[in-house]
Amino acid sequence: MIARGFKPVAWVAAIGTAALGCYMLSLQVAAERAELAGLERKIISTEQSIRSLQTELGTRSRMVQLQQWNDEVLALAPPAAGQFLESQMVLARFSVNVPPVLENPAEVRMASAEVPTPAPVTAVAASPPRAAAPVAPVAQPVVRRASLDTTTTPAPQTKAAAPRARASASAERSATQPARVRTAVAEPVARPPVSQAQPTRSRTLAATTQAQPRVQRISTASAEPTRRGAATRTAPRRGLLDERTQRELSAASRSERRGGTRD
Amino acid sequence: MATLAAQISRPIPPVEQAHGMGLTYHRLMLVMLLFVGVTFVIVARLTQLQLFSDDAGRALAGDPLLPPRGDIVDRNGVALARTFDGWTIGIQPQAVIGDKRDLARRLHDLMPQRSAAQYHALLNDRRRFVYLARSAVPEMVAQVNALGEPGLVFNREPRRLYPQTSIAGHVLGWVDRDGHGASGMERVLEQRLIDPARRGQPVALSIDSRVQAVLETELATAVTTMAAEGGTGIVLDIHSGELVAMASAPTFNPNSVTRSDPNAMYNRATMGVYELGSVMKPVTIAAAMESGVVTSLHQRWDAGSPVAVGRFRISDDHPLGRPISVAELMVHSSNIATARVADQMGAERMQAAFRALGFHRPVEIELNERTRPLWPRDWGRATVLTSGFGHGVAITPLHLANAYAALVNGGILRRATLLRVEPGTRVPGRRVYSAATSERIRQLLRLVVTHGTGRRAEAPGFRVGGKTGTAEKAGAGGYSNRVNVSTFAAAFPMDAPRYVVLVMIDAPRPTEANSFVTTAAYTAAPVVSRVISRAGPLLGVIPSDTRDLDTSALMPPVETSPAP
Repeated sequence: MIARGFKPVAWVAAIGTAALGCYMLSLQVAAERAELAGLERKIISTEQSIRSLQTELGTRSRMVQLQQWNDEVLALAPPAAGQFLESQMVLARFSVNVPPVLENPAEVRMASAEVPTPAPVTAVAASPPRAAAPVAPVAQPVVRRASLDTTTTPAPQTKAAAPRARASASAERSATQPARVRTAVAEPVARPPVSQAQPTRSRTLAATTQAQPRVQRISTASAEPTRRGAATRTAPRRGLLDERTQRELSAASRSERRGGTRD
Repeated sequence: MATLAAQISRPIPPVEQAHGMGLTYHRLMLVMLLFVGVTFVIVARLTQLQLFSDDAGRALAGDPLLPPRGDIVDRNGVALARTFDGWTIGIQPQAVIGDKRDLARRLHDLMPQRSAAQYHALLNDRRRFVYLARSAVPEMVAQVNALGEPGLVFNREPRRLYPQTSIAGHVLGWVDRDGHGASGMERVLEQRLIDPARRGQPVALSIDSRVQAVLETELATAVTTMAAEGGTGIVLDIHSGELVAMASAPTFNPNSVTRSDPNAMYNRATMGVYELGSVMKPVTIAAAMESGVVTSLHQRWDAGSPVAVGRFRISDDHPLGRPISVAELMVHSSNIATARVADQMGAERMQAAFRALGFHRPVEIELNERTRPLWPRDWGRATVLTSGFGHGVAITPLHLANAYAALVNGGILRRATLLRVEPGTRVPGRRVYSAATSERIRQLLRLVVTHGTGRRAEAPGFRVGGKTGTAEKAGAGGYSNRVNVSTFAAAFPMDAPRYVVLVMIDAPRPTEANSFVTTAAYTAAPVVSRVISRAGPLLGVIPSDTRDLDTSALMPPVETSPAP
């Protein structure tokens, strides 16, 4: 009875809700539309301001202004012919760190000389480089002689160079063993002692370099085989800008200076 | 009967009454429906407005991003001319409520281009609206607005702006107050720039603003330091005919035309006609090669004694006193030998050669600012001989640049254009020289720079070839040997030519900048050298020390001149 009494009310409520829902929906659609239109207006005004800002930027960076800045401050000059490289070949010409091909066998030869006598080599490796220098001529001249061989030809005397000079006399002896060299390099067993010996040698060289800047380039050349040889993986690079990197950079800049026309 | 009638009539009233009530109800119902209907219509309309009104008004306004006048850009898309909404400051004199005298004084403080008295006169004007400034920067608008005078009106109005200021001013031209193109490309492209369908897309000119800036700077420096009357420079792409740069000094600023010197608006490249002098010799020699007058490089022409024509004589500045080859003729720039070549050519063939290059009619270019060359009416022997080395026929520098393009590009004459040509397009042209002649002229021009009068035009690595031309300027009292028109026309790189560079200095004075010599070798040639070394890399020409044009074929007949 009560339910029947309330029926119209329920109807009215239902219809009212539906109408309200429809109205809310249309209101929301209208709001969305208005928002979209507002966004479009905003896009347009943004594009207009982009355009005006571009115009302003273009006006401020006009050629006359740039020219004035260049005349007064920057003083940039047009590039000359020497600053353009025509091909990869021309680019390769600038590389000064690649050693002549003939140097490599000589270095390897020295490495093999150490292999047959492992005991003394380890002794050298264990000792610090400074100490090794005086010991070397007495204990085993072979090691010292070979490592400094390529470096020294014109080199004058420092404390590090002293043993070297004596050793050079018997350089031919080490030249008689090239066949063994190759086996030594190929053999992984032989590697550990060699690799231990290598850093020592390079450090000795570094000492030479410090003592005497004139030898710099030659030592660069002989340091190269170290990288190429068996010790490559174990030889540590001390830092981001270790000596070799610095040497490479300075050599490159020197060659660039020679090649370019501007100073 | 009466009662009966009355009886009969009695039941009628209720019926009538009921009927009347029904009718009233009906009417009432109808009125109510009408009201409801009207309300519904109004609600429906309101709903419609609410839902769809956003789009209704906007369609009429058009695309707000479409500029009222199209942009002009250079070949790389750098804006050369743009339209933006600038501020205008105006005033309604009747609406001014403050003290007019005080307002006038404060306006003068802010905008000093008018005096306080003038502002006061404007404030008492009868007109309803007066402009105070038509192009005001926003800062100025803010300051004037801060005066707080309700009579002041600020509006936004489209303004044409040339962001590069004076760069390429002669090419662009300017617009008048109403925004219509008044000169230059603005005038040429008027229809295209205001067409609603196309103005959204910028128009690309062939100008490269960087090269144009280089050319204008170098030219302006030369004109200033040499105290010259003016000068002009052209950089022309020889394969497409595009003018990559075209400058005329002095320059003006198209942003403020009214405040510019009217003299500066004269575009010497297309409006100035000059007897350009020895730069015409390659044209004569090429024509002689084509017509079989010059057949071999070993053929010798007498340069020993001056040529007498009527009452005057043609002589050389540095007489060689012996027969010379064509290569020597170019290297030493011998007038005598060139006159003899022209003499053998004859009036008919010389005229035909010049007509083929269009020297008898205004130069073909989009601009309206062109002048007709001075073409001699009477082609007597004197005219023929002097025209061989560039006197008697007065042409514009652009004519000559176009002719040089044909000389070095394989012999095809193309129309010069200021509109960008898509790379790779084959631009039609007309053959005026054979490829062999063009090849030979290239060698001769290169030789002039390596061994002759054009040494100062050499830009290291760019293989420049060209010819000097120092003409005596014709004034009121005939030719003056102290006032020169010094021209250098060059092309580079000569082993595979791509661009012609022409520089002309009008009436340079002897100053320190040209070592007190006003000939082309000391005035125009160094400018060409600097322009090429600066603009060459921008144009994609890579300088090289290892490439050059082979001129060895010409070497045996040449004896080099002493260094200039």
